[in-house]
Amino acid sequence: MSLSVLQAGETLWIVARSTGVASLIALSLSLLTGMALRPKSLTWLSTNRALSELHSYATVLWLPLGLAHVVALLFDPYAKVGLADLVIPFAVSYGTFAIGLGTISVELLIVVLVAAWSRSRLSRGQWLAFHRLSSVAFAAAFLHGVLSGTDLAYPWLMGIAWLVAGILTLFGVERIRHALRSVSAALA
Amino acid sequence: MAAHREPTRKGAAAPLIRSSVFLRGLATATTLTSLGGMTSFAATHVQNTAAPLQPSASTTTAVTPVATGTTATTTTRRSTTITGATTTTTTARTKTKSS
Repeated sequence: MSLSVLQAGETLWIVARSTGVASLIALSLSLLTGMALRPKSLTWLSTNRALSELHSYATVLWLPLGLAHVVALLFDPYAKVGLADLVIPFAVSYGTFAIGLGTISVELLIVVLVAAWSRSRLSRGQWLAFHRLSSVAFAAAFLHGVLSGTDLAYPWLMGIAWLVAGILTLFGVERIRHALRSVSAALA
Repeated sequence: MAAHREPTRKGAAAPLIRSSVFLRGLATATTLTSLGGMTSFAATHVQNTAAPLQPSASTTTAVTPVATGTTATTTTRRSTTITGATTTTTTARTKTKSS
């Protein structure tokens, strides 16, 4: 293998890693602002309107980074990820489960994005059902990062990742509690 | 003790950030800083032996040019390591002149 191919592969590898981590951070911001809207958990930080705008805007951040992560891995000769692996999960010859979770995450995020873009054509219930898949997509992306990520194997980054996951879990629990309270109030 | 009460708050405390543009700028800065930071970190830490996946670690080619020496070229995730005993051979130095 020539040196230039090795260097190109190395650049792709660096791009894949950095965009993977950065897109996960942007996705965390998107999930955090989305879950905080109803229970108004972040009103100490900003207004709900500004948080809602940030929630929508976060797509501009994580989507290109996520795309760059996928494209870099597709062209990286070492990663051995093919186009079919973007569609068919758990088919890669190594790290089958870990990389498969990434595929699942990509597919679910596509569903969430399409539902968001066609929100006017869906009923509120339909849109919510699709939109809530974003939590599953994030969980899959997070586990994909933990189980396959080169950088998340560093203890300091692993610590930050689990801290963020813990914060998101707390916000998720608060969101569910708020929803349950709303349901019980409506039934009373 | 004198009954001194603070005035009743009519609304919630003002949020730290009111501007939507500033909030979006903060999120963008956070994301781009993490991107830049991770790029420079990955560039200086190309290989992590503790990483859970090492896809190319299985690509190992054993080369035995002469009977007395053994050289193994192992291509791991991002580096090529050549290991083996250095031995001096006398048979490989023969020059053949073709006419």
